[in-house]
Amino acid sequence: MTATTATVKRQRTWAWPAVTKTILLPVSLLFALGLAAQGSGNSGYFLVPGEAKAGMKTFFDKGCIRCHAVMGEGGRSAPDLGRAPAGYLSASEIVAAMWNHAPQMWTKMQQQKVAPPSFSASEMANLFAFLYSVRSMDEPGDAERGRQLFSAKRCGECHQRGARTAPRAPDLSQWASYRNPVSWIQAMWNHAPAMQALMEARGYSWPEFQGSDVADLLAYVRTQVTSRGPHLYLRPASPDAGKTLFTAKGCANCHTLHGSDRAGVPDLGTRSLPRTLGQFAAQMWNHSPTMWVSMKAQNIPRPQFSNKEMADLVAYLFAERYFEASGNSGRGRRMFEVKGCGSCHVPGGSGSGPDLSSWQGRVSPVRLATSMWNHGPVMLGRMQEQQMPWPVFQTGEMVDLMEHLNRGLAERQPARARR
Amino acid sequence: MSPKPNRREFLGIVGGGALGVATSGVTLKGLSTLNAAIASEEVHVPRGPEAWSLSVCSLCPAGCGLRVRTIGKRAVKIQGNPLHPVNRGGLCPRGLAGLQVLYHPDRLRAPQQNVGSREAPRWKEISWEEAMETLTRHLRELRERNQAHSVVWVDGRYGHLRHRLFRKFFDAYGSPNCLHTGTGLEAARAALYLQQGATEGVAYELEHTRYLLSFSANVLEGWGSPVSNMRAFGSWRDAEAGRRTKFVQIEPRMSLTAARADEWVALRPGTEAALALGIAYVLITEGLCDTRFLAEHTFGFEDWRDASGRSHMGFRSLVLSEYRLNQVAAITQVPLETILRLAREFAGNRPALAIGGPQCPTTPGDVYGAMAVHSLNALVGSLEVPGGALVRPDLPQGSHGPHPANTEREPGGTNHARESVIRVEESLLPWPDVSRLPQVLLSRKPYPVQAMLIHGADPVFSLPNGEEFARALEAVPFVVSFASFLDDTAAHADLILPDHTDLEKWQESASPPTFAFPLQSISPPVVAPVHQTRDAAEVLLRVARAMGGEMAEALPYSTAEEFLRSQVAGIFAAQTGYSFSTSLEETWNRMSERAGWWAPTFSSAQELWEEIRLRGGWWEPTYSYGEWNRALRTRSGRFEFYSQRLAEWTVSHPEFVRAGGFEPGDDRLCLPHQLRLPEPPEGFPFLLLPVEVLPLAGGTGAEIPYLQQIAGPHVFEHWESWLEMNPETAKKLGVEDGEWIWVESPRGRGRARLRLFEGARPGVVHLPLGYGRTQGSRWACRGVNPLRLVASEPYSPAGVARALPTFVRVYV
Repeated sequence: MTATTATVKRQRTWAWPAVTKTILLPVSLLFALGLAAQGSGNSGYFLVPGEAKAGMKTFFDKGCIRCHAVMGEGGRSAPDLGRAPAGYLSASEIVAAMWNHAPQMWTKMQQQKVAPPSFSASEMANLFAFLYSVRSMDEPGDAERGRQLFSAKRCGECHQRGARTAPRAPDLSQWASYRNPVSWIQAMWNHAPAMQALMEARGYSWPEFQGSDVADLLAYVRTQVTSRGPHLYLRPASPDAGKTLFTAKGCANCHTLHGSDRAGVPDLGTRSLPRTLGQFAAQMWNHSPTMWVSMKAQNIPRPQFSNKEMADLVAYLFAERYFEASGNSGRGRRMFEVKGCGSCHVPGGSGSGPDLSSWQGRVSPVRLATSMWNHGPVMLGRMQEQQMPWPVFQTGEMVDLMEHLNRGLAERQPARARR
Repeated sequence: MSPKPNRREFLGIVGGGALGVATSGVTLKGLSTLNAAIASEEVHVPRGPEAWSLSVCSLCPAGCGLRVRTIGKRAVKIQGNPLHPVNRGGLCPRGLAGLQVLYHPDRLRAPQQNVGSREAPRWKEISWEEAMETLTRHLRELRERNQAHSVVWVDGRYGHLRHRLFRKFFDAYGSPNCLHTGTGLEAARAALYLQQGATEGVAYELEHTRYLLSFSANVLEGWGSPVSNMRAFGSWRDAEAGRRTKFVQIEPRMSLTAARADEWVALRPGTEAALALGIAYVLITEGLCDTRFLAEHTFGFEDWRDASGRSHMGFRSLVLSEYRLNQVAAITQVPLETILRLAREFAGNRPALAIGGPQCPTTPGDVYGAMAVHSLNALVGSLEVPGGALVRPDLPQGSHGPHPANTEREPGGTNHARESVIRVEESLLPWPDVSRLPQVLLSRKPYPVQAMLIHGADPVFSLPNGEEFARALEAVPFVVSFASFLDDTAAHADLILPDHTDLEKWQESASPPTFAFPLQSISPPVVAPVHQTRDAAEVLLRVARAMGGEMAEALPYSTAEEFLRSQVAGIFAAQTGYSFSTSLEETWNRMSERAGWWAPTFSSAQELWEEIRLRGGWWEPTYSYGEWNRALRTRSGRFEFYSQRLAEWTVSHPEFVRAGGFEPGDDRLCLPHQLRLPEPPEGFPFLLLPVEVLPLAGGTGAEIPYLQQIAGPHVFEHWESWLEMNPETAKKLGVEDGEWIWVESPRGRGRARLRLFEGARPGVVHLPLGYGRTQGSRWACRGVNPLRLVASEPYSPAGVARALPTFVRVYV
C-alpha cells in the first residue's frame, strides 16, 4: 500500500491508505508555481494540497518569521527551517519535527507573551508546501570553500582559462551565468562519459562531492562570471512531463520509485536520497561512472537531456519523494500505547482527550499537524497536570501512528511490513 | 572645542516641527497661501468618480512610486505606492508636495518666445505650432549646414528611459553633446571608478549592514533615497529580529541625520579624509583588516614596483607614515580615543560600511576624501558582500539597436565622428562635467556652440559658477528651455517649451543613487494637462518626424508611450526580474532566484507591460555578490588603493599635480589623502558651509509653498534664508538670535536672519541651499543663494566640481 493523495475530483478528504500512487503532490519550488495553475485548473490530475507561495504568506502572517528564519530570512531565536534539520524530511517527518519541538516553542511563546497562532487545514497545507520547497533549495554556498575544492579536486587543471592540457575542457567561467544546480546536473550528465574518458586517459581519478560541495563549487564558479549579461535561471518545471520522461528516457528500466532497489540500482523515491538539488547533483555525479558501466554492460544507450527535460525529471523525482510508503498500523498501534496516547484518547470518549476513532480514514500529515498545533497547548497543559512526559517520535514512527489512526483505533489486524 | 548641543532639545524641536507639519494639514501657511493664490480659479469642490492611479515622483533622484487619488479630472491626494521597492508606500514631504507643483499658479501655461533681448527679455505666448516650427527650423538648418554637432542638450531630469530617447535623438541628429547634470554623488562615483573601474552607480546595502560610518552623508535628508534609507534605519532597530545596527554620523554640524544617529562625531570641516585614514591606521596597526581580501582582491596596499622597476608607495606606508593617531586627532579635532574606538567597532561589527560624503548636486565634493572612505570598506572586506558596498548592475538594454552615433554627413558623403564639446578624453573620469560648459561656451573651443537645449536643469541657479554660465549663454545663438516655471536659466532662453509636470505625462524613473538593484518605474499620466504644455520627449519625437529621413527612422515612435513600450520589450527580452510586488513576494522571488529558479508572473512583453502599468514598474531584486569581474574592472582587476588610472592621468596633466601642491611622480597623488586646508584670509574669520535641508534637497523646491513652510523646523525658520551660528560665536560677535545679518565672502554678500543653533560649530556658519532664486514663482525669489558666495573649483580637471572652503565675515 502506498501513501499519497487523491485528486480533488475524485475525493476531497484524505484517505491515507486507500489511494493509489498515480497522483503526485507538487510541493517543491521546482514546480510549485507551475502546478498551482494546473492544480486549480480543469485537468484534475494533480491535487495541490498546499501552495508554497501561499505558505510563505502564512509563515509571515502567523508570525513564524519572528523567531524562525528560512534560508537566512527572518528571526534568529529559533532554528532556520530551511536548513534545520540538515537531512531530508518527508511530510510525516515534518509533523514529527513540529510535534517534538512544540512544547519548547509554546513555552517560549508563553514567556514572550505571544499567543500561539491557530492554523486552518489549508494554511497548514500551504505551510508544509512552503517548508518542503525551501528545504529543497541549496544554501547560497561558500565561494571560498568552492575555490579550495576547485583546486583540491583538480578541476582547474582542465576547466580553466589558460589550462595547458589538451584537448581543453570548457572554461567554466563561460557557464558562470547558470544559476540553477539543475543546469549543472544536465551538463554533467550529458558530458560525463566524455569527461570520464578524458580523465582516465590522463590518469585522474573521478572526484566525488559530498554535502554542500556542489553549492560551494557553484558559488565559486559564479564569481568567475565574465559576461555582464543576465543570469540564466530555470523556469518552474513540470513533474507531469518529468514522469513521462522517466519512462521515455529509459530511467524506469532500472530505477524504481517507492519500490525496491534492483541489483544495486537505487530506488529514487526513498528518503535516503539527499535533501537539496545541489546534493542531488553531487550524488548523480558520484555515481555516474558506476551507472555508465552498468548501462554499457546492459547495452542501454545513455539518454541526453535538455535543461528543461532535466528540470522536469528532477521535479518529478522530488515530488514523488514527498510521500513515503504508508506506515505499519501494527507498529502504530503499539506506538499509540507506548507513547501514552491511549491513556487519554480512549475509544468511546471516556478519556480526557477526544476519541480519535472518528479520524479513521481521514488522517493526513496536514490534518495531524493542524490538530496538534491548534489543540496542543491544552493537551500539554493537561499532560503536565498529570505529570505525563510529552512523547517524542523518531523517524518513521509518526507515519506508523497515522496508519494506525487511519485504520481505526479498534483495528487489531496483524502488522504488515512497511518497507 | 567641540560644540555641545542639547540633543534631546534638538530632537524635540525637529520632531515637533515634523509632527506639526504632518498634522496641521491645510492650516499651514504654505497650503493656505497656495489656496489663496488659486482661489479665483478653483472655487468648487471637485466632483466626479473617485479613482487611484500610479505615478512616479521626480522631485529628487530617488524616483519614489506614487499613488494618486483623483476625483473627476482633478488629482486630490498623493500617497506612496506600497508596491514600489524604493519607498514601499512611504513618502517624504517633497513627494507629498506634488499636487502643489501640478496646480501651481505660476506655471508656464503655453510656449513662450523671447521677443526682447537676452539682457531684457520680453515674453510672448505663442502657439505650439509656431514653437515647434521655430525649433524644427533651427535644428534642421544647423544640420543642413553640418553644424549638428554644435547643438548641446543639457538634461537634469532623473529619469532613465527618457535619457535613452534623448540620446537616441541626438545620435541620429548628429550631436555628441547629450549631457546630463549630476546627482550630487559624483565624488563617490568617481572613487568607485578610480578604485574599482566601475562606471555604474555606487550602491550600498544599508539594510543589512551592522555598523555604518557615515562621513557627512546626509542619510536621512536627501542622500540616495531618503524614504528607502528611513526604512533601512527602521530595520536597524528591529528587536524582534535581534538586530541592532550602530549608526555613527561624522560631520561638523548636528544635522537631522546626526541627531538621529546612535553617535555623532563632530569633526573639523573638510577633514573627513584624514579621519578615514586615521581609522585605517588603527585597522592596520591592530591587525583588524581582512587580510584574505587584501591579498586576493586589492592592489597597492603594500609598496610595489612597476614594470620599469621603480618602487611606489603603497597605502599602508602612506597611512603609517602620515596619518598617525595623534596627527589625525590634531587635524580633525576628534579625540584620539574616539578614533581608536570607532576603528575597533568598525572592524568588530561585520558587515560594516563606510559611506560619504554628502549628496549635494550643487557641491559634489572631494574625490580623494571619497576614496579614503571607500578604502575603509576594502580594508574590512565589505565589498561585494551582503550589507556592504556593491556595484549596481545595469538595466537591461532596450530592444533598439545601436545607431550610428556622433556622425555628420559631409558633402562628399562620408561620415566622420565628432568630438564632444566637453572632451571626456581629457578628463580623469569617463563622464562629462557640465560645470565646464561656461568655459567651453566662452572660449568657443573646441568649436562654437550654436544651440543649447536645456531640460529639467537650472544650471544658472544651481552651479557654483552659475553667473558665469549665464554670461556664457549669451554666446549661444539659440537657447531653448523646457522649464515648467520661468527659472534663472530659462530667463536667458529664446524659446521656452514648458514641459508637463509629473502627473500629466508618462513617468519613468530608474534606480535611485545608492540603490543596489536595477529598477525601472513606468506610469501613465494621472490627469490631463492642466495647461498648454507638452512632454519634452514627445516634442523631440515630433521634431524627428518633421525632419524625416533617418531621424524619423531612428525614432519611429509617435508617443512617449510607444517608446516606453519598446524599452519594456527590451527588458522582457532579457528574461530576468519581476514586476513590482509586495515585500512578501519580493522575499519569495529572491529565495527562488538564489535557488536558481525564475518564475515571473508574465510570459510576454505585452503581459509585462500590463503588469508594469498595474503595479508601477519592473525590477531585479536579487544581487549576485562576489562577481569580481563585474565589480573590479581596474587595470589590475583588483580594488586599487593606488589608482593606476590616476597614475596614468597625472602624467599628462601637470596642472592637476601642481594644484594639489605635489611634485610630478609623487605617489600620494594616486592614493587617498587629506587635501590641504586653507587658512582664513584677513577679515573673513568664519567658515561658511552651505547645508542641504530635505524640503529643498538638491537646491530645488523653493517654488512650492508647502516646502518653504517646513524648510527649517530645527531653528523655527521658514520662507527666508537663515544663518545658523553657534551661540558662543554670536555672543563674541555681539549679535542676537533673530537679527537680520549680512554674510559676506570675497565673492559677494547676502542678508539672512540669524538663528542661534548649538548644532553649529564655533567659528562655522551655515546657510541653507535652495534660496535666492532671481526668477521663478512668486515664492521662490527670496533669501540668499549660498552658491553665489562660495568659492568653487568648477573646472576641476578631475571632472568633479567641488566647493572650496569659503570664509566669510558676518555683520549687522
